[in-house]
Amino acid sequence: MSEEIKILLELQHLDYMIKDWRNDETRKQFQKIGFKVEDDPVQMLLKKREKLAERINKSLYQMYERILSRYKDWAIVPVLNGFCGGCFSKVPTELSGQRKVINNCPNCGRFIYWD
Amino acid sequence: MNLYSLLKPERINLDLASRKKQEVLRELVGAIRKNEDADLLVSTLLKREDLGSTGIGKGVAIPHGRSLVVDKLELVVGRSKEGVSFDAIDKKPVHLFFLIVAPPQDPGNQYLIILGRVAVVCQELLKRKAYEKPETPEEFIKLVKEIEGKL
Repeated sequence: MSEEIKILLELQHLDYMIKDWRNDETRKQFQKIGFKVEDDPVQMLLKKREKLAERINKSLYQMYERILSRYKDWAIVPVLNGFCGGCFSKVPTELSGQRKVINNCPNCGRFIYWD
Repeated sequence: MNLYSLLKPERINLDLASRKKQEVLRELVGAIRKNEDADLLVSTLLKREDLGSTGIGKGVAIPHGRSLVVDKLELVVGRSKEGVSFDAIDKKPVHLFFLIVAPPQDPGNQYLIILGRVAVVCQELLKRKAYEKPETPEEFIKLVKEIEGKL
């Protein structure tokens, strides 16, 4: 797995966390359980996100943002048994030979990676 | 939803070797994923810990996160006799861990339900240090089942 894929995945995991902390129901449940957090967890996570984004090239980051704003769920997905983990269409076998570089699903455009 | 039905003997470690936060997270994650997936999960869990420890006091911690590396909710239990330094809110060492990893989108928001359920069951497990008694993962599951039967 390339360093860029790793960073994109970390970015996406941060985005899941930010989404949770922005959700009132989730925050209430976290508080009810007894988790004590920073005054503004979302702000703290956004700062982490910014730092992480600086570690990949700008065009790649912009593409990540574009894909995310289009699909709202995830921008980078694993290839599972030869199928895109986002749209579930068949990924051409010739792409599997390029596992070390970042590829996009020819159907949905999401970044894809192989485990 | 019952917690005991999600517990699997191979994901219950009643004798954790780690004594520090990052190490114990890696040990717990190791029960569900290896290699790069495990690295990613540990990194995510540590970012969550940076917001405030998931050590909720009285020797219990519930590290949690969402990740695409799992396709269904995964639960891992760890117990440490000596205790782990985990920056818990009461500053005491943590002896009982419930790690919860859920996919980003889970039906019926199972993630939140299970988090709440774990917190409730932990309160019962703490009574008279009941969590210390099981000697095997199967006994631990049985204990959780008994507790849930009384809730």
